[in-house]
Amino acid sequence: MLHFRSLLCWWGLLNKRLLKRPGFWAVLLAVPVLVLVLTLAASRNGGVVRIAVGLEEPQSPAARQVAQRLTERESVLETVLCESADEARTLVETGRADGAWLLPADLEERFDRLSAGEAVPLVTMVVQEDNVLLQLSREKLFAALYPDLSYALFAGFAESELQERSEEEIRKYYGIIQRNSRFIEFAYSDGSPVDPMESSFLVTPVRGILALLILVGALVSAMYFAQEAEAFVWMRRRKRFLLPFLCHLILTLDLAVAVLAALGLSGLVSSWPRELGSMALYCTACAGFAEVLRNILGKPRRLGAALPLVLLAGLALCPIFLNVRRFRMVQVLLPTFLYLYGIRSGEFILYLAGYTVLSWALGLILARIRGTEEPGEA
Amino acid sequence: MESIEVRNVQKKYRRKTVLRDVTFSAGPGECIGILGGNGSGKSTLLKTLAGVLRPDGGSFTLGGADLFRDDKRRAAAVGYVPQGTPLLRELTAMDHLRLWYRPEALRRGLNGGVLEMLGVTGFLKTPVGKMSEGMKKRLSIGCALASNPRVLLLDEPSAALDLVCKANILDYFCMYRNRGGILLIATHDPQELELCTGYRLLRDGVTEPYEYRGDLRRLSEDMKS
Amino acid sequence: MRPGFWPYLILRLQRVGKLFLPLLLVAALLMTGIGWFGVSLVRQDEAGAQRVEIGVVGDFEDSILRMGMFALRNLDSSRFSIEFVQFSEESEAKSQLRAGKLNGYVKIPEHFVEDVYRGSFQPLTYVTAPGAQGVGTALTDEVIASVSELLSVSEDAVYGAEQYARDHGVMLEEGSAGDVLAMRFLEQILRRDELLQVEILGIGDGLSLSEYFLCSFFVMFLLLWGVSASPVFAGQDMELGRLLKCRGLGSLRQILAEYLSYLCLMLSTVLCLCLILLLILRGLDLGGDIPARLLESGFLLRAVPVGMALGALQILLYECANGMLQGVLLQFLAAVSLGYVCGCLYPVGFFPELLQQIGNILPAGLARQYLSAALSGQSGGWLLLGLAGYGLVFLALSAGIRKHRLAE
Repeated sequence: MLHFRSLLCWWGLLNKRLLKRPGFWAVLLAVPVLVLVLTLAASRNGGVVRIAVGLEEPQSPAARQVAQRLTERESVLETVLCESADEARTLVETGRADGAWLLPADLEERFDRLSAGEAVPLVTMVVQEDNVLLQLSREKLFAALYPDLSYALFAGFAESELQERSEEEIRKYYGIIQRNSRFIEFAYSDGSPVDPMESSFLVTPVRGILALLILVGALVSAMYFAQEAEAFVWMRRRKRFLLPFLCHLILTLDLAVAVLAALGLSGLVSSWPRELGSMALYCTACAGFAEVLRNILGKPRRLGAALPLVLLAGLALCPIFLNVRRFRMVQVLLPTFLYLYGIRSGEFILYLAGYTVLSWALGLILARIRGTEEPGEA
Repeated sequence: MESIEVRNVQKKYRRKTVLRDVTFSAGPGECIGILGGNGSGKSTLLKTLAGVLRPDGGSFTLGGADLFRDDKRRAAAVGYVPQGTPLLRELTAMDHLRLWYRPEALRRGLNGGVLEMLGVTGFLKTPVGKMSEGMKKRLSIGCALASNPRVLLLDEPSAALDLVCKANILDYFCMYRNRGGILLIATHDPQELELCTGYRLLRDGVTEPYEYRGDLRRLSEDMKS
Repeated sequence: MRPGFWPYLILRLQRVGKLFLPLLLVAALLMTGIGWFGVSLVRQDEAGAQRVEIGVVGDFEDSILRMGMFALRNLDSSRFSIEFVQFSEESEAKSQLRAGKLNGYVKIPEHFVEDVYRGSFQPLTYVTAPGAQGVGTALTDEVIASVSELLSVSEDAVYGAEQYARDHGVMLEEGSAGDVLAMRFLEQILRRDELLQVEILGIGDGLSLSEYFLCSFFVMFLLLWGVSASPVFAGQDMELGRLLKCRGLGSLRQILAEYLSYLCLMLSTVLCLCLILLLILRGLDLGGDIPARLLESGFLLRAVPVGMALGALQILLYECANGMLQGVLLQFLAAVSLGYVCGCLYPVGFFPELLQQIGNILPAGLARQYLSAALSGQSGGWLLLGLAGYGLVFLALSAGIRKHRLAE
């Protein structure tokens, strides 16, 4: 009981030394504010690519219908409806659109010619450079063309093979079965469902960025510990080993409060119990990581020089902006990677727990070897 | 009442040997002045005895028990006042005392105990960032005395203090010594030297007995040679 | 002796000089890392497309499924951008997903083909990677959703044909009405790329994706660089400053001296490294025409005012933060927020109009556009003015804050 009260007392006072700094409060408050501003500003999505949809004949019903499908549906592609093909082409030429899909005036006739077996293009695509994003975006165009194309194929089949000429009968049997269900459903590896559009792709990197903030906080605590270490000179040697972990953990947990508030405001939290648990585990893992680095690098100047490298590794290798599928052996050295994967995978949470234990153990062993339990020696 | 014995203590920093063979002893009521030039290893010696640094050899016994091997006993028996004032700027005096004192000991210290004697009670709610050097030093001494130690290691305790504060602190040390405590002081200060009952000169990593008779000029020449 | 501006500047240069070699090493590693990151984003493989790997889990004893896999791998237009990997057990696919070898996998339920013929089937499940939804994942998921729509619409039409044949007693020579129609749909789906006529205009006045990322990552590099100088610039004690002030060196000149020393350090590490790298690349004929373009377009020269503006911002942030802790955290927040909103991590076109406008006028946005203008051969005069304005404002604010701190 005495040890627990003593620990609480230490916890409170070490926390107080951080919370008495106005600058630290400024950082804590800035985090949710910045994220809230971004979430509100990004509520109307931009798009991964910007496609101008141009109609050669604005009055063409088939083209208008396809254009409507393209522009009305929520998507990671931004589609802009232009009143003419020339306008769409100009947007591409001037760099204001990544590509243009030009729907011809005789789109309906082209569907019929296709269903009769003629090879005829349906849409002209104008681009400055044909990159992978534009290639993948074509599937959206096909999905918008397809209802009309499939009807044309069905009608052609009905006429040629089933000898049915009545438009009414053809329409009736085309629409006779409408399952209204998806052919493919989405799930995460733990079986939980996912809505592909559940959150804006502009906002989802926020979790990763904030996770990096916590990692940076742990590293800064490691740098800062060298300055403060003398103040703990009266601590018994045996307990002194745990002191840096405690300092790093306190800072990361303070940052975690701000980060959780930010995640809540941005709508990125799906389950609060899971969120709180994984965050607490992540903070502990960061404390271990920072302590290992502190014992390896020694001087605060070296830690400071290494900081941007760790940041860059985090930005590049962790699933924040990209899901890089290489260098897995390096990725698992970063607690941020395990945390981000662990949000949707219980397995990775276990890995994170194992990582935490290992990093704390390694930190303690390195401290023993190095003898950096001595204040001011790091 | 137990005596301390320091035997063959060694300490190296990477390849440099700072303490080669330090040996001396002190009994209750004694105050040993550790003399030596800048960089001679006085602070290193005190830090090693205090447990801040790990020794590379030798022993430090109190009543026959080697304090280098008994961390718990050393923490209870030895108090250390470092050269600077290693305190956390944002915390108050009371916060620091709560870190190092048990609740009952803190109550006793504040009510007629050592903390009251040091005058710490007068600025309990003051943050360290707003304290004067004298206040910080008194607080440091108060923190060092948390375990009611029998041995007190002092590294230039009255440096940068005003005359009144210095006098008060030296009076306290005098009282501590008279009550049977053992003091080791690393110092150049004449008033602190006056407090001592014996002297050791630290030179080339080795201590030797020294006779100081109030002649600072001679002392500085001896330190150089 | 009265301490003048120049002796103080020399003192600061000596102080930061100790960081030169470690920071040169850091800058080298940072550049290599950022270069690799950029290449990963825009990399073209031998077939000319970045490949997404998707697993397919099912019982491939069934001939229809085998045929379907064959068609996907060899006939479908997506074969240039998506690689389909076959698995008989879901556990294998899961472990590959976990190891990062797949972007996701599709799980085909048991008896799927028979159920499709019966007209009632469980949907396929696309299992996605558990990491955050980045652009790549979002796009892949949208492609899958589009494909799902194609298949749903086709399937409903096939059932309609079957129903018609049953109702009217129609028998076809080739097989059931549904099968024949399904083959026609399949043929059309596999050849869907032929439905597009592609016209490539060429880059013109704009930048290619590679060039865009080159400029944006360079700015990101400078923003992140600010963190590495924290051991010298964060949490400075004001005692020396007060002493200098007493001797006649006021807050503005102190800030100027510190800023110039910071700038020297930043530019010497970054530009030296860039120049050496580009000369080596050009000499070894690596990196296509990019090294030559960078050297000839004045890109490195333009990096100087960019460094000056961003350096002034970083000095201001260090001045605002009273301590190493706040200093580093602020630098990080500023670097990543600015970098993100100004289009240094995602292209600025990804953002809504309002955010694009804001990003384009912030310092990092101006910096990115100014560097882009070098590559596209534009003057960028207004951008330079904007950067200069920001630099002056930041320095003035820094001096004001220093004055206040010295007076405390």
